Amino acid sequence: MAYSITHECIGCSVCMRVCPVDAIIGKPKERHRIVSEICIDCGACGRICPHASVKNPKGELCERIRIRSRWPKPKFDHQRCMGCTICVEACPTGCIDLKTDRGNRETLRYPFLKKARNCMGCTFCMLECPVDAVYMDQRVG
Amino acid sequence: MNRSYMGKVLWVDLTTGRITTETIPDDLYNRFLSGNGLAAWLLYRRIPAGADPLGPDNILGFVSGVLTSSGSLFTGRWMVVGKSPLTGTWGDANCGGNLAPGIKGCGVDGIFFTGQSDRPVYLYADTKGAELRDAIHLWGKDAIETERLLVDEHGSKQRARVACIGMAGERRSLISGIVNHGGRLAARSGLGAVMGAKGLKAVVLCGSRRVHAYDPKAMKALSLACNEHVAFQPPFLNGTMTAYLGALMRMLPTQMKLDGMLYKIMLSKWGTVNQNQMAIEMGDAPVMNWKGSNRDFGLDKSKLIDPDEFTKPVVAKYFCYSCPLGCGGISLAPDGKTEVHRPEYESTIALGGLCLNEDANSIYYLNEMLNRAGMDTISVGGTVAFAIECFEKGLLTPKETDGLKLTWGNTDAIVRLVEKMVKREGIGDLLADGTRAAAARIGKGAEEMAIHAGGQELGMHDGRYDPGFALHNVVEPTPGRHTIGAYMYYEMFQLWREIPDLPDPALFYLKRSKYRANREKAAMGAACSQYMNVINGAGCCLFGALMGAHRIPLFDWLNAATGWKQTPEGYLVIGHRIQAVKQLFNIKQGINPKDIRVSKRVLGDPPQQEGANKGVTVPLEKLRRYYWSGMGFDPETGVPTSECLARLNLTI
Repeated sequence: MAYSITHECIGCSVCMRVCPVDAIIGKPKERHRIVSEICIDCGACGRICPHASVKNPKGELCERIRIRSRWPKPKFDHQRCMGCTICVEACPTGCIDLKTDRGNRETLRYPFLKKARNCMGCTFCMLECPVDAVYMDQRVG
Repeated sequence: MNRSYMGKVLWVDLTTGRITTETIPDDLYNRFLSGNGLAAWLLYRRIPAGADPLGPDNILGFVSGVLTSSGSLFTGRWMVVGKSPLTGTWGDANCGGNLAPGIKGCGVDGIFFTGQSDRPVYLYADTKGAELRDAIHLWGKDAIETERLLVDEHGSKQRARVACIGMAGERRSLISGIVNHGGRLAARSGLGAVMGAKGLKAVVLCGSRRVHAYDPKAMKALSLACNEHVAFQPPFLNGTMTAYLGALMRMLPTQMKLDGMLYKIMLSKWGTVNQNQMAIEMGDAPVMNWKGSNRDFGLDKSKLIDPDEFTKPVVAKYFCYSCPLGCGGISLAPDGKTEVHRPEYESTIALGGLCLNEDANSIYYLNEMLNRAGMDTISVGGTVAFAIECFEKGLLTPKETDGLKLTWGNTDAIVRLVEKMVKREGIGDLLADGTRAAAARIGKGAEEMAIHAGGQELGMHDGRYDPGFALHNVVEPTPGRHTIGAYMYYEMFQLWREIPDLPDPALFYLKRSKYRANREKAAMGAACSQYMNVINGAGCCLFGALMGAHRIPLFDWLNAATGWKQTPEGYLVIGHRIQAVKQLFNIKQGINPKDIRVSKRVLGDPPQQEGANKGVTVPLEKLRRYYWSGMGFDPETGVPTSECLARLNLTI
């Protein structure tokens, strides 16, 4: 299952520009289409669509979050984090990295949101963290 | 259905440039898992008999495990597979780093390369697909520089993971490996040379496809419970005390059954270098091309590789993907600015004690040089030690060594020699294909000093200390690997807690009992081989598994990730099946299992006159017969019997 675009689409192409895997095709001013084999279900198209024309895999219309800086952003609980880098690798836009300040050799290299502008709020980092050390905070950014 | 494996593999024909996707039926995952297991089945059937390992018929595969990216811990290993040019057998190498999630992120469980490209290329793959791109601008560059350039090019808006070869692989050195994440190597089996021969400089994976486990809640519960064990880290001895602990273990006539938690604590504190001095003192680490002992590299000489001293330049722990332990270390290079990977135990001993090299800085320097060149530090150390002994015996003279005075512990000469090996220059060209090839070229009885099993230099664990290492060096389809089985591994795996039929060693036992060959030892060896195949099929790390089967829930993770209801015994049958296929691979390629031999010296023939392993001889032939018999192979020939194949449901 993947996200899909309804007939409400006017072909503004905003979703095409935000899709991290180029899964959306279509000409300007024509209805766009999501290639389900490529779509990774990040939901960025749904959050950005100004015409409420994207449905999630459950068939529900996605809710637009008008201001992108209000999209959910990850925060990291250093008490729980063990530095396993799963969140780093899970991020489709590569915007999570490990902190370069270390202190001493016992110090873990904790993850942080390095490129907040690239974050799409997909929550993959939170979903994949095996120890619940990542949570989403909409006030960040 | 969510089942944690992707159900597809990618085939790339480097001769024609054609890229295709093959769907793998569920049944194959059921029978072989993923990783090495699935690859063994595919390559056994598709590499023609007698294929030239460096020719177009060989297949080079990069594979991830069933559990990679599924929410489990310790399961970020990737493996590279193919016919080894070093041994002529089934070849595989295993690495952590960050490539494994990249493979699955591209929607496949493995990427296999056939044919040979007439110009340097690299594979770029992402969520949409894959294509071959020109790599002329990268050819000749070292592995870390190559990775940096490719990440800069492809990683600005997505995560780019790179595996590539350095100069050694390009020059088809038979002891070259494949490099990932700034100097982590899939080093063994000489598969870097296969990549170089295929004209494939790098693999760049930018996929971000998610992996879905069958039961994510169960996966998380299991991972949280496992992490509790990993987080247990009480205060422990300092580095110097580990050496005295090793000395104490050497002096005692008895040995205690090892618990992996102790090793976990040491790994977490120091990384693999925790064993540097301890292993020398207790007789596990080979010294002076395997003819020396702790007497030749005592505490006065090994103090510079004291775990505390050796980790002083480390500024942060290094974690492979999905690892909660972090046994790696990011160190400052001698220039005080560049960050490099800290040498591992294997590299430290191979480039240190094995050559009687006391200079810790040179080990750091050589390790980084070899990481950049993409060369196996174990094999390089073994080959340098071999060259030094040849020089000592007069088989190599200054005329042949380009003026280098190859004496024990001559750090300058060792560094110069390794530089020449990387460049294949003069004497370096003679040695760049490992000890077996070098001994054949030198002749004059040099083979006696070439320490290898079936052509591959041995890991830094002495079979005279733990005969399990000696056994697995020769019975494994990839000879000379130290990461598959040993009696101490068996003790730490604690498989008897999950499979009550397996032997449970006594808490204390006499050391001399280790050298008895019997059915119990064979059962322990067979269980190690089978379990390691499951571990590799799952993409799990050996160090995680050493915590014990009751602490790392590998079987439960596999069931929760795939929805299977397999028993631990059932998983070992899968491991057994994988081992049988690898053995059949060797037989198909004309390898007689009985011809895989290890140098007599490492079996204590003749026995050492002093040191930790004094007077010890390993009854290898007897052990091997028991092992093969226990595996269902013919005890005399090592060929899987028809009953065994039928029992494993292997119709060939």
